Amino acid sequence: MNDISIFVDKCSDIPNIKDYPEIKTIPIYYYFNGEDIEYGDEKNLTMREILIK
Amino acid sequence: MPRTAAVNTSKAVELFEEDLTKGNDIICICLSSGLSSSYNNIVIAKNMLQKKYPDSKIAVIDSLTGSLAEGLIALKALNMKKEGKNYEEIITYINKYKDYYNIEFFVDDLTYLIHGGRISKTAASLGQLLRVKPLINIDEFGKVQVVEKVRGSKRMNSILIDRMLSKIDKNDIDAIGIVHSDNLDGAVKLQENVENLKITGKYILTEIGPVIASHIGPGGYGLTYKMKNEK
Repeated sequence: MNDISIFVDKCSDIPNIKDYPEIKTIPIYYYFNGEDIEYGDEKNLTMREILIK
Repeated sequence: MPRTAAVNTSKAVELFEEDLTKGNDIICICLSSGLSSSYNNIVIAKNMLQKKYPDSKIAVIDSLTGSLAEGLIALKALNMKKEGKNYEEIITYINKYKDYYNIEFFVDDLTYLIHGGRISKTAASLGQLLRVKPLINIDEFGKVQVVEKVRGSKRMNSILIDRMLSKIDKNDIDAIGIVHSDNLDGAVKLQENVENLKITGKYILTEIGPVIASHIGPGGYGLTYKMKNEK
C-alpha cells in the first residue's frame, strides 16, 4: 500500500504548520499594486505586512 | 491593496512530483473554488501527472470553504492517516463531511470583500449600515455570504457561540478554531468564552493568513468547527 501525502494550499491557515511535517503546503502568490514584485511562500509575509502594503 | 494569485500549476506539479516519485498517493485539500481558481489549477496539475504516475492515486478536493475550516479538514485527514485508515476511507470521509466544516466570521468592514470581488455589492449592502457588524460565512457553493448583521459589538461573541452551539454535536467535535485578522484581543476573549463551555476537543487559535486577510481586511474574528448537520 502506498504511503499517503497530504497537501493543502496556503489558505488553510493551520497554525505552526511546521509542527505537522506530514502536511505539505502549496504556496500562493501575492502581487502588489505599483510594485513589480511577486511574493510567494518563501517571503512568508504576515497578514499585517500584507494589509499595510 | 494587494491582489492574490491562485496556486501556480507548475509549482503544484513540482511539489506533487516530489512525493509521486516516492510512490506515494496524494490527497490535496484546496481553498473553495468559489473563492479562488487554485482548485482548478491544481486539478490541471493532477491531470498532467496522473498518466505519468499511473500506480499512484491523486485526489484534489474542493473544500468549498477556506482558512482554518479548510485546515481542520486537512488535520482530520492527517489524524485518520495516523489511525491507520486507508486512502479510500479518508477520501470517502472528506467528501461526505467537508460541507459540515463551517466558518463564521465578524468582519469589521466589507470594503475588502467588495474590492476583491468576493461578495456582491447587493449582498454587501446588508452589512454596510452604520455601526453594523456583518457576520459572514461560506455557503454551500463555496462563496462568501452575509448571514446576519449586528448593531454594535457587545453581542458579537454570544451570537457566534449561540450559532455554534446550535450546529455542533458536543460529543463529536475534534477541534474548535478561533480565527482573527489582526484582532488578537478579540479572538482571545472569544476563546475564553468558548472554553467556558467546557466542550471536549482541541482549541486552535490562529491568525487568518495573508491570502484570506487581503480579502476581508483587519479587525475581524470568528469561529470554525465541524457541524452535526448540513448548513
